[in-house]
Amino acid sequence: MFHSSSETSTYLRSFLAITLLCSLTFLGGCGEKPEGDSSTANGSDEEIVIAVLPKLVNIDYFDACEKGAKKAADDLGIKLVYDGPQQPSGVEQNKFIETWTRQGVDAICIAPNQPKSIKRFVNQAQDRGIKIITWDSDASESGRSYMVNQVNDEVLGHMLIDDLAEQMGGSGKWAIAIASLDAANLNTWRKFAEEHAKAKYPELELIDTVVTQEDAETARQLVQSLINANPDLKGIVAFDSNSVPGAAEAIKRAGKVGEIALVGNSTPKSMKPYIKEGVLKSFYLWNPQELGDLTVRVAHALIQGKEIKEGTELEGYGPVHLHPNDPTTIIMSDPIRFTAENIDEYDFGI
Amino acid sequence: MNSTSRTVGKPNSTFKLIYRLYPAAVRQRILFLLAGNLLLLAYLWFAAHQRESSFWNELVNIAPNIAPQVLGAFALTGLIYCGSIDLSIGSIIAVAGSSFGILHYYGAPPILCFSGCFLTAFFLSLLNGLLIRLLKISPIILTLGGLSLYRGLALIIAHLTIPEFPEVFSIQNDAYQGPGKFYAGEILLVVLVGVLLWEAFGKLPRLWLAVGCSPVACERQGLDPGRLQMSAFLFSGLFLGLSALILITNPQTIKPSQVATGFELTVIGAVVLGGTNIFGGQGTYLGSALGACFLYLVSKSLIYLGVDAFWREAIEGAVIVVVIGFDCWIHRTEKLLEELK
Amino acid sequence: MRYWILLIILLLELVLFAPFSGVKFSSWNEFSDSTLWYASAIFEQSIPLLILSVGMTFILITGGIDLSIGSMVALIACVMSLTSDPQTFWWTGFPLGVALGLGLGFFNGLLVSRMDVPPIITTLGTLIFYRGLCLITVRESENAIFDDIPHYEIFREMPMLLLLFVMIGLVGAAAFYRSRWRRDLLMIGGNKIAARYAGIPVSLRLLQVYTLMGFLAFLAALCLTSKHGSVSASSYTQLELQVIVAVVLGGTRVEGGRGSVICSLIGVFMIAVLEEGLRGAGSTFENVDHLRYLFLGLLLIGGVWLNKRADSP
Repeated sequence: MFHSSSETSTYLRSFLAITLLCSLTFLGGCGEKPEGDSSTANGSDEEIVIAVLPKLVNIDYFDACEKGAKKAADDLGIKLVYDGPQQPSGVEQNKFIETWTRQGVDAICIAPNQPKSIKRFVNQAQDRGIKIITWDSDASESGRSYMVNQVNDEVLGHMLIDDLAEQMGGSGKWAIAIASLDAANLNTWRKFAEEHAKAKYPELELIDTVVTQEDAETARQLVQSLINANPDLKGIVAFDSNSVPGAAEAIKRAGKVGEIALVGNSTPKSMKPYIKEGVLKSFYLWNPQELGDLTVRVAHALIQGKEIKEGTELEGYGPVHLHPNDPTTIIMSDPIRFTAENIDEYDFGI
Repeated sequence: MNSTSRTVGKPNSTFKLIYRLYPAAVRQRILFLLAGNLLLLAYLWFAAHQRESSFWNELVNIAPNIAPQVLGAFALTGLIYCGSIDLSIGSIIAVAGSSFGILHYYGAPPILCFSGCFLTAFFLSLLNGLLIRLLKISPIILTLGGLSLYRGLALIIAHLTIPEFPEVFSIQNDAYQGPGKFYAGEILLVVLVGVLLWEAFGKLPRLWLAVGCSPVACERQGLDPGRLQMSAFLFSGLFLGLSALILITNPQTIKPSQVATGFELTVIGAVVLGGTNIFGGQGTYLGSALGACFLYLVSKSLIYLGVDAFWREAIEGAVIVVVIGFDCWIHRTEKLLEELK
Repeated sequence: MRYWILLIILLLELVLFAPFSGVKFSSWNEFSDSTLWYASAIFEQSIPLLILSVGMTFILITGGIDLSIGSMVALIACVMSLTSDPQTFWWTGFPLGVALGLGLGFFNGLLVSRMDVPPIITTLGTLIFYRGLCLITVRESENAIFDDIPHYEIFREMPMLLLLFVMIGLVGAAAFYRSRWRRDLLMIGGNKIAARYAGIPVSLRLLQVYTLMGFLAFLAALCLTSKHGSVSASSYTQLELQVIVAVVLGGTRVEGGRGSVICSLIGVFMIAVLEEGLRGAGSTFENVDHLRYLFLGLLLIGGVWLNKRADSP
């Protein structure tokens, strides 16, 4: 039947399929449209539009940030655009900055994957009067106005090592589990942690680093082998929310609970069972929803021409704190130390 | 042809037949991989001994850890036999993960979650087969589209069914983690034995190989290449379902956007390393399993060797290139001669 | 391979997505300004993919595939970024980059043609190997010397990009279309053994094609580093997938023996317009990030299917 059709009907069918494809595209878009929002980003003169660019979308951490940012946007009565690449790629992020520059948003908040590559795009946007701040990880050379940092990177790196050293009794072999060797802020923390360990605890010996490729299952397998290959391993520092549960599972399955100390940054929801079982004593995080919230509020204040200093009151947030040595970096809070006692008090949604 | 008919009736005829079924290159690749795997195991034993740790611990972990990859490789082997391929397996696993997570969220009993996960993967694989037949598009193109399409589907169904979906399902109940966490090794061994027997005595794998060699010849023999390809997708769905089940029920969290990304490349690597011709018509299931095992052991050995973290990826890549390059190179003359026969 | 079908889809995409992508309709002046800006953005974004898609088309025509191009581009960029003094780049880093591009491509070609390794496993191996070399060369740092190199900005400015596009995409394609070389590649893709019998230097041609891919990866590395200014070990991952999708969408047969450079170029634009459109739509609609996967898949399957229907009535 297919083969006998005449040329005209082939074209007709092609046309129908294209139309279908495009109307699907259109309907798909319209179906997702939120109610009561009729103005588009490009046309509006009155409404303030703040664009927030995470490192990548569709992961729990940045989803929690989005929820916080939305709350702030509703509170302030502004329009929020929260979108980003599907892979943690600097090149893709720059494309988003270009698109938003063309659309003429009022501010862009960037969590850069490749901090040094955004400079030209930031300058382009600033030339058109768009305010730029960074959040989550910094790009200090790009000319951004402010940086909203969740924690003081140095403080976090030191806290992790101090905690580990205390649990290990100040000496022994330790290893690192990290998602990727060149991810911007993981790497900053890793560097501070290694330096601190060398300087303050000379009896701690770093024996290996495993790269877990943002996957809890890979992390488990690698740490399992690491434990097996080094029977005298006493501690593990894991820097991301996939490595910590993976490492915890590996310690549990190797039957070395209590023998190997584990500290790291992870989300309360995924760590709750392990911390209740005592596989690890503590881990660290900050409130990602608060980070999204603060980022939007800082951008809003900047658009309104406010100057941000130590202790400046932000509408609906409270006073902000700056980095002791850098007046353009806002530090959200100290990292929260989660333990079996306090884990039930926090609900970040992740 | 003559030689096979002569051996019929003799006590060891079946084994001879199996032996002859595979071209020399495939047989040698299997020996090559066996030797490689044994060598790596010997190294691991030696290293474990030297570090005063337990080799046994490492050994018993092999089967559960490589189970998803091996089953995934089985899923692809049958397809590649008949000249087809499925690049969307990683994304199909993501959809299976989403359906598992959704069922778990709404309180379905474990068995329902398991079957939901298995059946999703099974039917999506079947859907791929059907679409290839209906649209008459090359499998590689259709499943390249599926790679992206199903990943979107996994996210969309999760967002549509679960209010305020936090981009992650957490499964913190051992009852829901049976297949992956506790029985992965056993499942793999059972399937492995079954597959090897099936490969030796079953008819279907040989028919697929025939289709891969020459669809036209098959048609002349009264076989339907389209239907045979469909059956390959059916079996591929079974293996993929098991692979998804193990992969999904092992960790405590399922992230639909990230689970099994790049899985298809690892698996294709294992299959081709195992001696299966990527264009069809030649290969073994055993080789695919050995290939997956080899890739796993290489990465384990690097940990025992204590190689600097920055060098590991390069060494892994170099090992793959060197091993397969060497094997292809020593068989090059034979292959050329075979082509010119 | 009817390029007009691809062009119609491209046009429909443009009509559909232009309003989201910052094209303004309020007055003629604004319209022309914003359209020009939009068009140049699309072009600048897709130039590396355009360059790579030409090489990928050649490779697919021979029945091969190159999965390593993302790692290859990254490795070339990483090695070029090691130049200690930006002033000397043009006679140190630049020739080194050319040599490296040719060398990496040659290595792939050597494995495929002389050692008879299947292309998919060769380039899967070098995908990992080259990426590992990136980690060794730049380690965890992000190198940003490219903004300091004198005159390096020409690789992101319109005249040079247009020149590259015309040279590689149009002139190259036209010369290719008429050449003996093309018929050789088509024959290798159609039937390698027959090609050998017909006296075509199969190994040499394969070697040439993969080496050319390496050189094109060098050109793409120039454009990308000039535009983005920095490189790190995990840059440009999955570039190969974008290129392959575009080439396949252009109607090139993955099994070899058929393909057109012009159609591949249109394929690249189709994907660039779709992605740019969805990026733009992201600020109007919510949850576009999930639909992005869906549209790309539908575009690929739908586009190839339509093309096929029109091709064999």
